[in-house]
Amino acid sequence: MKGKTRIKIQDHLDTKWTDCFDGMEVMHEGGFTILTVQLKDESHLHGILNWIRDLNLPIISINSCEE
Amino acid sequence: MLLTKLHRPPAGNNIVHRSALFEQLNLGLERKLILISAPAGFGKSMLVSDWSLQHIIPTAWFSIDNGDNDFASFVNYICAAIQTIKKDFGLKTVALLQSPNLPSAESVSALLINEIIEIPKQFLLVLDDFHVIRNPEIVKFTAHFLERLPANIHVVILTRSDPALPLARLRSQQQLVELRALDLGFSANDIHYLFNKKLKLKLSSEEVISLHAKTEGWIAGLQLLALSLQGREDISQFVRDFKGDNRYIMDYLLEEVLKIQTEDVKEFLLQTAVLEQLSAPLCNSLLNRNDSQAILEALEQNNMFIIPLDSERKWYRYHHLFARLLKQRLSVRDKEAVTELHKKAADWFKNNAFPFAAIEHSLEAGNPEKSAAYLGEIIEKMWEGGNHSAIMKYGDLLPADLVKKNATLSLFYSWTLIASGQVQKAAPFLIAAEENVRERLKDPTATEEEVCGDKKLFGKIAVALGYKYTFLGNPEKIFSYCKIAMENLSEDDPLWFSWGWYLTGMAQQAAENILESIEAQKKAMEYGKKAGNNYLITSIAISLAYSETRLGLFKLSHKRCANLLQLLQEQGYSEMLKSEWSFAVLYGNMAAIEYFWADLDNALENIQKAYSLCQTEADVTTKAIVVLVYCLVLHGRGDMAASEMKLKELDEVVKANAVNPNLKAMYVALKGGMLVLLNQPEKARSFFETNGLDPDKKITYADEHGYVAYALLLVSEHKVEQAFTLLARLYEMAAAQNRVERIIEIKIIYAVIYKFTGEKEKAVLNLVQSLEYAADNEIIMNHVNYLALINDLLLEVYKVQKTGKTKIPDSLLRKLKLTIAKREKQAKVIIPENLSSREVDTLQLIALELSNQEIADKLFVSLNTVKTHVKNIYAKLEVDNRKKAIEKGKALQLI
Repeated sequence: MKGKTRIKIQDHLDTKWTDCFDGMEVMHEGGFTILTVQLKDESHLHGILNWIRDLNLPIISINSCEE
Repeated sequence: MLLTKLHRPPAGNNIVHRSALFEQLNLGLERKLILISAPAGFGKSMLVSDWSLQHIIPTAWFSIDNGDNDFASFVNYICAAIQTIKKDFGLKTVALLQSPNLPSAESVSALLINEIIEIPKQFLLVLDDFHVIRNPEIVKFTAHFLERLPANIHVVILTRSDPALPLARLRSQQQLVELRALDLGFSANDIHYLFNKKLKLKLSSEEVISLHAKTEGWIAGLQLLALSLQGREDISQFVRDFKGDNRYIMDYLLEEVLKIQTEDVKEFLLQTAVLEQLSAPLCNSLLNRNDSQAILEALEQNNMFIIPLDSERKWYRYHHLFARLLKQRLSVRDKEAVTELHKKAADWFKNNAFPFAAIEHSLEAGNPEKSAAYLGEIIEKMWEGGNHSAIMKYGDLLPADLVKKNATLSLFYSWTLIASGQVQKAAPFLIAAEENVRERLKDPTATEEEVCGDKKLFGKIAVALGYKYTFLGNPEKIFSYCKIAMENLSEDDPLWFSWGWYLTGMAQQAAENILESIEAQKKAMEYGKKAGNNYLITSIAISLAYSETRLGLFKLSHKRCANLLQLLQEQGYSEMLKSEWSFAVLYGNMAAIEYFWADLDNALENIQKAYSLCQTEADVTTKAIVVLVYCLVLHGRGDMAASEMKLKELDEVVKANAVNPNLKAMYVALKGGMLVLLNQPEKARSFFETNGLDPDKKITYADEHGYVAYALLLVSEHKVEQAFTLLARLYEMAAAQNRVERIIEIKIIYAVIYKFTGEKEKAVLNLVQSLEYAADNEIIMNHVNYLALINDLLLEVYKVQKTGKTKIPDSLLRKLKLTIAKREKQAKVIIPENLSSREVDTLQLIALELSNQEIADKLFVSLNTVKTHVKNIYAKLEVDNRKKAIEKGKALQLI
């Protein structure tokens, strides 16, 4: 997976977490948090997934925004 | 070694004993693996720690961190952990790992298992935070280890994500107990117990249920909640607000917890969160205060997510999740402060001899120059200790230009890259290192001490460059670099000196300068022993034995191999001999020599060992050599069908891979030679021609082997002149290097030709000479192989021997005669192989003097069937009564 990607997680993560990963944006949508990030490569993605795992944040979905 | 990583975390004072889970864990005492897989904060470590303490189970604990992705370091810690159960555990393994070249995962695992069996009690090996393991070698090791785990040890793996281990197999074998987030989370009952019984917070049952729903039993969340509730008047209100808020609960709760701390404690928490582990002196230095010990102990007292890492309360760490939340808060507030803290931490760790932490913190502080400098100071020690992955990790992490500026860094980083097969990636670093030091050596202002250090470094870089070229197959380059190495290194660096000589020896071998190779390897051995590096000593010994075999110095070579095996066994590495494929060459060499001695039983045993070692890994050359020798041994034993199969296997290996020319020649000689001996000249000719043999061309050392068989083919084609010319050339080559084994074979072929041309005296003379050459090393297999062609000549030789005119020892001829007799006997054994297994059974019962009816009853067959069997036995053994059948059966060892 590469390029702009949306990761949807349960609950509202504080928007202060923005940029804790290189260029990651944090937005709220309903009861969810949308993390938007420009993925450099696979290991970038895995780093973020590990981070999500370590915070015990439930992942709802991961989508690529690229056509 | 950080002993803090071996400390079993104590159960905190608010521990909830999980008796239902304990029962499941107890099942694990009958099984190999307990896997506890759940996200951070599900109380994995706490559960296992509490269970093992409550049930008084001896426990070896290993908290893995990122630095342990090094295979050597990982295994070192496992040994150290088990040493808490049994003193002196794994010392051999640890010694083995102290090497720039690492043994395979399989052999290390086998070594450990062998020692674990000796421990007279049951114990747990806990691998905490296994998810940080990314090194496939470690995963392979763990899988192998689990597969063969003895009954007195149970492995407990705690992880946030499922490991790539054969879990399905363990599950189906009932060797796995598994606990996951759903099992670990607190039930409403557990919450009631914690909040009302332990903390006496007086929550209503509705509140308990709503907290359960909100947190889904996540223990870290509940613990943080407990902290936020402490000392609150309005608990019910708080629980209602908490339930209604849809913020990430940790964001919410941390805010609340920090709110109720004093400003002082809050700052302490935030600023020390940058540390992976913290001690009072470190915190004092970081925060310019002197009361850190009191604060740390108070935090532990208040269950502030801080875990003591030793029983003296010297080192602590925050719960990973808690640290993460704190760190994020600090960096949002003040990024520069974070950098500053990392800088201070790096200095402290540097001054207190924690080099890795110093490197990590310098990197975090955005100061890779400092990291590179720190790394440069310890990298040689790391390399000597086999910490390859750590070297690789930092080498990859630091900017390439920075590494290139530091010759020491470049040297060891590139060596590690080469050893892992990344020769191309290593090249520019080595070039930079070479240039770098060459420039420095030109500097006239350098002190004597500096020059001395740089010369040494230059020598080491030359060794590394030579090492690189062994992979690229360029003997000339290897020679020139080894020469530079020797000029710059001294006997004070026996390890490097030994490496230099070893590489020279390998290059000489590749250039077919066998005598020179042996000289170099002897020097390598001298210094290798001084350096005490087992891996290097073994490699050198194998190379030496190989060269000696090539020269026909079979006794010497065989003794060298046997001594090496004995040495390794005495040092306790016998397990490694069964699993490390590099030993296949050793066993193969012994088998080949035993083959030439016609000691075919030992040859078979050794070649089977070699063959099984090459099954999984091994390089193509090793594999091909082993299969080739196997084929020879089977052929020598008269087992033609099996030999044929090995020859087909060899065909496949040679076809599928580019094998080295020398080996190819051996293969051509073997197969072509067999075709000639089987009297199939057309096939032999076309085989030789397809493989490029042409006596009009220049014959290289490598090809020479095949041309001996070619000469024999020429004889069978009546091209006697050509055969003579060819043999003369071959003889000259072999004699120049005194390669006895080849000379013997050539002399035999001469005998065959003279017999063909009717010059019997010359034929006998050549055969006598061949046996004289064979005497010193008792090489008799060539004569056995060509027996059909020289049998009559041999009888003449025996006559000459009686006149006392030869220099052949009688013992050699006795041995030859015995071997020939044995072989003839074996040849006869082949006849009754067409006896079916049922017929053999029948024959054996006949020998017990059972009647036909009794035999029929024993074998559960009809009387008629037995009669048929008996008739067949008589026919096949060419006998006409029971007595004779029994006699013949005994002679053929069927009874």
